[in-house]
Amino acid sequence: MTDLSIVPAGAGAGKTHHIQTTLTGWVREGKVRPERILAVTFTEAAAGELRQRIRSALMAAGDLQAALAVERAYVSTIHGLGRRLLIEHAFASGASPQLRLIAEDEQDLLIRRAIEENPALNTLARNLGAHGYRASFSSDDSAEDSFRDKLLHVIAMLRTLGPRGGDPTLADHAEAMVREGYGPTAPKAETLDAGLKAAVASLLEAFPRSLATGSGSKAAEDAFRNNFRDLRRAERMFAKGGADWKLWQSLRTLRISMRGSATPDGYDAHAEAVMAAADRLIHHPGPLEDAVTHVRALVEGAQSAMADYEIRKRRLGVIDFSDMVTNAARLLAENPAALGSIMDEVDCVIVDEFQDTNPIQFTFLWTLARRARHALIVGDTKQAIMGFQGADPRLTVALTEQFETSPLDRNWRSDPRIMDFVNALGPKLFGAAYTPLAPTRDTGHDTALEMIQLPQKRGARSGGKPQHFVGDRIHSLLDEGVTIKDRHSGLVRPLEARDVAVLCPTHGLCSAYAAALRVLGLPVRVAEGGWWQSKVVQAASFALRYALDPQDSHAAICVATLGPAALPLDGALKALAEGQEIVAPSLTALKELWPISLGMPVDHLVHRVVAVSGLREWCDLLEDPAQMRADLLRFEAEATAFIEAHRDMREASGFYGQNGHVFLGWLEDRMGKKGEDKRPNPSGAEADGIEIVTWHASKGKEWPVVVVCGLDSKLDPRPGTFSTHFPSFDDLDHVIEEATIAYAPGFAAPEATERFLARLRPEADENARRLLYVALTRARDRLIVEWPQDDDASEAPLPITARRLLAEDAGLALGDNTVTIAGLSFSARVHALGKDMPPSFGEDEFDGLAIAADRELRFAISAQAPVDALAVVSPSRAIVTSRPFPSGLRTMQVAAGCVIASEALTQATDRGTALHEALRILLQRPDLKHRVGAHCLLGDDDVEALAGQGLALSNALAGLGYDELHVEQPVEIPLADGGIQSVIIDLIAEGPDGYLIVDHKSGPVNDHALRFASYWPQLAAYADAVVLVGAKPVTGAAVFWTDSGELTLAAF
Amino acid sequence: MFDDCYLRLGKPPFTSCVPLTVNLLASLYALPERVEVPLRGALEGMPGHQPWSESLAVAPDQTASSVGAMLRQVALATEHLDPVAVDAGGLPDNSRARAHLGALLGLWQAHPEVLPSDLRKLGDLLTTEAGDVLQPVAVIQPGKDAGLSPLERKVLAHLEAHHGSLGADDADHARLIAARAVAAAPAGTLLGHVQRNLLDPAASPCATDDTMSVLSVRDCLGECEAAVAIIQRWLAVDSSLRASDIALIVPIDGVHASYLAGTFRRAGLVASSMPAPPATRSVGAETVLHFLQCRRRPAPAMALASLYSSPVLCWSPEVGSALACGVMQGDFAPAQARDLADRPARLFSLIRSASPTTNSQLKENLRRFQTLLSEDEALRGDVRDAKRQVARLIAAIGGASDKAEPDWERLIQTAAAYQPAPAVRGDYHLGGITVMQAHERPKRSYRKLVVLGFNAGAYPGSPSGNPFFLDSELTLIREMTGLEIPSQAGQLDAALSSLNRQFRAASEQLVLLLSERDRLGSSLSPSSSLALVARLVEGVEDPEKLVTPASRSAGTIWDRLLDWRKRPEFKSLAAFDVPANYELGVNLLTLRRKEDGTPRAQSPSRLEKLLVSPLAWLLGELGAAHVPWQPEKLDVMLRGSLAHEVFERLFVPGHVHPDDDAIEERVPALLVDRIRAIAPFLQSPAWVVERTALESEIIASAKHWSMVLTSLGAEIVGNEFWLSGDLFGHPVHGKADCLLRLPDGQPVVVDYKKSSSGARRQRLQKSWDLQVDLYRRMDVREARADEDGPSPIAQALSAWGALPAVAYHTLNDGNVLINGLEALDSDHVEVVRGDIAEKALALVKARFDALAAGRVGTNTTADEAYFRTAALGTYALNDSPLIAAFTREDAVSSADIGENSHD
Ligand code: SF4
Repeated sequence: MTDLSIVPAGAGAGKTHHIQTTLTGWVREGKVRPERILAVTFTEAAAGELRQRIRSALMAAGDLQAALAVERAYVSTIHGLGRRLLIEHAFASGASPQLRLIAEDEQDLLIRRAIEENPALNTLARNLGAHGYRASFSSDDSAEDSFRDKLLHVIAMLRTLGPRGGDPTLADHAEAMVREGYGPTAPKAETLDAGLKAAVASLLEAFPRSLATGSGSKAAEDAFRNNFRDLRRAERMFAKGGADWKLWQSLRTLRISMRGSATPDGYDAHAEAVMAAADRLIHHPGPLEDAVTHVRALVEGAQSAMADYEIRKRRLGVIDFSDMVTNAARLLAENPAALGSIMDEVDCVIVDEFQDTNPIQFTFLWTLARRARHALIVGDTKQAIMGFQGADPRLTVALTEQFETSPLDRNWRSDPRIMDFVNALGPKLFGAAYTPLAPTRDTGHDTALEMIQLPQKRGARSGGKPQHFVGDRIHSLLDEGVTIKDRHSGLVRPLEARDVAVLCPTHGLCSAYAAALRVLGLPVRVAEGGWWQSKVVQAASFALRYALDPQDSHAAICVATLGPAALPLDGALKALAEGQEIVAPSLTALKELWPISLGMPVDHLVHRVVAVSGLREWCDLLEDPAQMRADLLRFEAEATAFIEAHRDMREASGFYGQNGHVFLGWLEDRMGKKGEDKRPNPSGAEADGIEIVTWHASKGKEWPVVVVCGLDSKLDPRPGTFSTHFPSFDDLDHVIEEATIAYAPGFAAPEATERFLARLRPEADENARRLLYVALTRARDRLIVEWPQDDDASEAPLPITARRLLAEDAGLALGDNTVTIAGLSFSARVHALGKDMPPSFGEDEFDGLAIAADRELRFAISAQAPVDALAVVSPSRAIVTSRPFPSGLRTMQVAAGCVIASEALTQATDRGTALHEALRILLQRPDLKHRVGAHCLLGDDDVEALAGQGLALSNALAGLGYDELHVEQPVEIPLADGGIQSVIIDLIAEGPDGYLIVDHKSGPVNDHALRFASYWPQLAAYADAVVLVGAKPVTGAAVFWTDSGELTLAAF
Repeated sequence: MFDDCYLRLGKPPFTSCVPLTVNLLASLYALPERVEVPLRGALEGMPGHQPWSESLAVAPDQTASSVGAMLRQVALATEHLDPVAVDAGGLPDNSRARAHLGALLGLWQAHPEVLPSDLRKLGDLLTTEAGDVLQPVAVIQPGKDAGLSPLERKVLAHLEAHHGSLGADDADHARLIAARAVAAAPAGTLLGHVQRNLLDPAASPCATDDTMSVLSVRDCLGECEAAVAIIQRWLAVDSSLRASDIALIVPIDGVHASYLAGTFRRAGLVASSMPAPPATRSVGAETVLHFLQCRRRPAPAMALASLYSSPVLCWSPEVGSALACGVMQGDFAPAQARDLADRPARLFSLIRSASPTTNSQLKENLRRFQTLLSEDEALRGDVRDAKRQVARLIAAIGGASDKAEPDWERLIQTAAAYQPAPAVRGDYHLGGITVMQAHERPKRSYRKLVVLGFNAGAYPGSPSGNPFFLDSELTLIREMTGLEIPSQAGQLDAALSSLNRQFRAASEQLVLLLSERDRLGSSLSPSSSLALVARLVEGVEDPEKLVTPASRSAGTIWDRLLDWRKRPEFKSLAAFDVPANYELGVNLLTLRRKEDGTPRAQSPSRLEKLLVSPLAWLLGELGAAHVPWQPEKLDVMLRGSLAHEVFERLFVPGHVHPDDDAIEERVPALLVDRIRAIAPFLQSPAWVVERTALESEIIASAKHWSMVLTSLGAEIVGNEFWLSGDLFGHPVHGKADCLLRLPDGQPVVVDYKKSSSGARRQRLQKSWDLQVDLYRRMDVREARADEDGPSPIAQALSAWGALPAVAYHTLNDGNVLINGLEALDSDHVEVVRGDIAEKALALVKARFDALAAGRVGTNTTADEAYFRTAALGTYALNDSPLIAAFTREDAVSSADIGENSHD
């Protein structure tokens, strides 16, 4: 079996370096041929880096051939690998050899269709509300959308299980898990129902009217009205035999007498009886049965939709993103021959970030790795934080437990003082399995550890918010004269904004911190939404709209007032109110593009629109020009993407057509989807400001100074989630085949929901530890931790937060200038703060360009007036000549006319070509007449006629004194700038005293002189060329009219 | 094919060299013309156990194209184009290589005609004699290791045998072959060193200098700007340098070229042979596709809009735009359509006519369509394309039975299969800067060369796999059969030698430019050949170190390559000063007028908009609405309309209210009927979840409504009736959903809302209603055309003698909020007391006064919160970006008109 090496690699332990050296070692020892490397990473960038590193290591080792061969090796992302295998083995898997990748829109449509004929799902669809599906408040999504999203989610989860995902027993497993998790139910539902029914009835009998009117306060009025409505609804519900658990739940808390507002006598007793009866909801079998029905319908519905979806994709010859791995895994599992020939091609298998695999990815890679002669698996389960994408680190954990591992034990990233701190935390977070990493860097001379102790809770109404304190600290840090060692140059230099990163648990917090830093005038880069609303993008979209339809007065007014023209609004409105057009230069320029704009490819049109309305130049007048330019560039790129999107894909989402309106609609529609409205990062490879990123996104990155914020964020599990279960990890080769699924339903009664959530807590807690580890290990020189207040929660379930993990599990405590972890003390700067807003925020709000550099390429160009340049065009396109038009034109009949009759040639251009080709043969080699028909696709009659014409033309030319013919003669004309122009002349007839240029023209001709004149520039260009290379003068030029057999001749 | 091969043609003094191509050979030897035979038919006729059989069944076209491509490679790998001569017997039994190669050879033997026509012509050529040539010919060919295929080599040998080959001492050979391969830069420079050793495994590193640099910038636009700035500086500092001494190489993506063109223009530089993306679409073919898509029902609204706005139709682009705009607003028979005459009118009625149910009807439709295209001279080409496309479609229908239903799916596929317009190449300008594309080899040397887009995937391009052979199998095949089918390794070698040729063209300086991000903002890596160059530079242990980013330009070669200039002083934009009112000086209340000149009525929805934002309202009055092109969807409005229409038919005046069973029975059919009438797109299967959900929602609320009506003893007097009246002297009108009469004769005007009661209740309680309260003050406008006297609705209202009560029925939670009657003894309705409209009316009055005086008030930053407390929807604020852009910074809401101002 394999030479298998499993390498757990903690943060900053140099795993890429390890892979590179292992691999080059193998290559040097002859164990592995470079083109036979199979190496998998999870991102395109990582794959590129790995390839580049292997390549240069091999070059450094002097093996150029090996280095070049890496290009052909299987070094890619896991999806790239799957796709390549699917193409290379397309026939074996019976798939299209040109698989088209479909995007989400099309996937969504195909799945929609798969759902259509599904009875189980249709029952659910009738009752979306009862199963908790609601329209979204934050977007246009309807309850149906949220149902479909849920279903897509289930499908995605099932697909991570490969073929097992379609197993019909999964629904049973899911049901069993739900039943077990719900716990014992009350034996008889009827008793519970009867109890509540009776309690409600007797209350309503005693108090048939609502207590709302005159109950005093507004709160009381609302409560009594709602209570009464609910009671009535319950009464009807029992009468009709329905079941509404939310209604039950609401009857658990009725308003009774309170201080200052008493209820009428007897009411409280009735109400308490109702509440007591309703309380039995928590063990009611009804909600359980509903949850079971729901989960079964979801699983079975998803499975059947999935099967149907597979068929549809096959029929269309398309795959979706996850198919690249799923289908490749199936190929390996089902086709031993294909697996064999794949393994024949590789000497080693290397996997990076193995902990981020989902079950099917794990199976796919593990199948390859365990069959390879050499395998290297690198990963770190402490950094397994991609669970939200379906990654499942349990499999990797099992792997590291079953096989010997050789963990990396050094750290190349962080200051030793930071490492000491992390090494102290490690065992507290991960237990004995934690491998300490020995620091290798020199200890710096500035502080390495800082704690910003927040004076109050995040939600406090007054005083400063956490982002203000953090912003204030960064602001002063940048003024403190701190120096760092530049990673690129190795030189010590002052700390700059771009050296600092702020890590937050959520995107929402990222934006809040970004806003605070901006107030201080600090340059910030954060992945933010709002691209579509960006000023320049809006201006571009309205300019495009106007260029497509100048009647669109809304577009006109937006272009005029919101674009570079910046006209006052009242003027524009007034013009419209008076039925006039709005006058602005940009409108005039845009209008000139119309109506040609309607037929332009969108990318080209966008380009023109940007140019004529001066949008790119305008960016420099706006705040953050770099961002604006990047925004605009994305707009242009989207136009290209629109054109390149497959028609099926666009139509799947309802967009028919290719014009600019369709493009804008398509774009606007996409902006409503999650993650699409992100503004492109305006800086290059390196940020040009403080980077604010989520903990998740910080993985794999490092900065000199890192501020970790939001340790108080709750990382609790949520109801409504599916998860996968593995009965045992003993046989990793087949682990996926035994997988089952579990579901944590949300119930009307929170107690019931919590019974399920409690089971998800351990995993959520694990995940929180890993996230924290990732966040705390990003700093090179200085780690700053924002230390929040305790949340004061004391009752179970206690929230899962990073702060609790640190304070409770690791025993972290702050001293004056120390941080202690379970007794070990670390020197740190601890900032104890007052509640007031930091003074830096009181100063004048910073106003101006936070990021505007002088060294900008666009300013290095000096604008110059365009130069008039002489175009060297082919003579047939020439329209002018300096040669004087010859006098003494004469036309003579030299041969019989000939119009091609062949039916094989329908187009005029084809007939013209045939004619030239035929004359080419017949003028030079009349003896080859028998070849003309087959070569030119001409009938015998045409050939005969042309042969006669050719002969007559040669004779006539001889008669004129030109007895030597150069037919279809190429002539190379050297150009003044070193270039060469090549022209082909139909016929140069040579006589003892000079040359005659002849050009053949087909088609009817009325006025020979006029037509000759129109060809004069072409003939003149030929004459010039011949003069240049010929040995004799050009003595004339002529057109041979093939239709009529006439020759119009101009003698010079 | 035949890279670096030339023929010298003609007799002196005209002998000239042209690149060798198959077509040239076909002309010179007058070879018979060969037509392409589609492969798919042959493949489908083969016995069913070919390696590709399963794939062929799933994806015939893609499979055929893959098979065709590989068949070509195999044929090129033979010397004599003879499948029988290839002996695959040496390959291991049962191996994939043997199976795949055997199948290809089998196909070739069985169907020699499917070989590409150019290869068949070469086969013909190989049978010719020396005397068969038309003109004197001499062959110029590159060296032995030029990567030509066996077939190409055979052809060259054949030609050489006939006409001789020119040797290295020949001047043409020297200029076309030798001179182009030579390293142009001196050996002592880094550039010269790289040119000589790029592919030499034994080469040692050389000291760095400015002859060669690798620069990175953020994006491709930056690359173009850098290139131009560098060129400007080159030209400025060296007067001996001419623009024609400079060349650029751009990737084939077309993106660089279009930014480069713009930047050149700005800098006054002239380019030669600048590539340009196509400037027109295939509008003709596109239009026919849309016509076909719209012939099938339900026609997607956007396909219809795209069709209407096509420039090749016989109506003007203005009319097309207006019709399209109408459709995208849900108006399928807009006013413009009524004014059409002659051909445009015929076209419109053709497009809107009933969908053809048979092939013969469809053919007739298509024929009629092609007579209704534009007659504009400028569009002749597009119209011709459209007609050709129609002919293709009619031919495609051809075989099928005239009576059969059209095979829409297949026909639409056929209509969609058209060639996009080709890219073009700019003119060669004398003395211009040469622009080449990444796959082209320079024809001469240049003093300065800039390569753009030096990123992963280019220079060289990544090799691509195929379903037939892996590289190891190709090696085996070469060993066992002698067939030299190009491998990925071979492709890569060829690409690298091409790159080397490009590098070698620079005699003084080479700049490689790469992007750090693509235009969407994703990271990009450098080209794979960076490492190849980096290893030749002293002191560069990591290839990335060879790259100098513009973001760290200070003190680097950047400073020597271009002239940094200070950021120009920009006159910064004065922030908008938004006044409380814009004074337009015209009575804004009377902008929309009827034909008789009187102002048009305001509807409750317009008035609500006016409450929230006078600017949004004004844009509406001016017809300046934002009409996005969005596919039809089931939004709240449409859900409401469908529910109302079903209700109207379920609860009929004068009938007993339906019971639960009747409701369950009737709603599904009524809904289907209403969907067909007002939202046909919902009929498609993709909307089944929505249809089902909507149906059950309507059933639930109908049951509840029936129960409420019964318990109140209410009678339905009428549904959907128009009311009109005036408000502060201005006409208003609106359509009420339903009129009830209670047992005591009290009429109640009811409006259905597809929402819950929460916000509505608040709005009424806070006196911000602007709908039903208006209804009760208006008169019934459209009486039913009954002969037996006035309409029952008007009767019911006038019989009461006082103002009617009004109510909202919120369908989602089944609440009925009623106002205008004292007490009602019912659990099922909720009486809201007091004046429900006082604040709203006061604000309308104030707004009216301002508008009449020509003033339009602007919104303030406090408005959103203000209206939220009033429980008024603030959608109007999002009507147009203008509203946000012209919002005033103010803590006081624009709707806060104070206590005293509404007298
Ligand atoms: S209610 Fe009046 S204003 Fe509104 S759309 Fe209908 S006719 Fe036009």
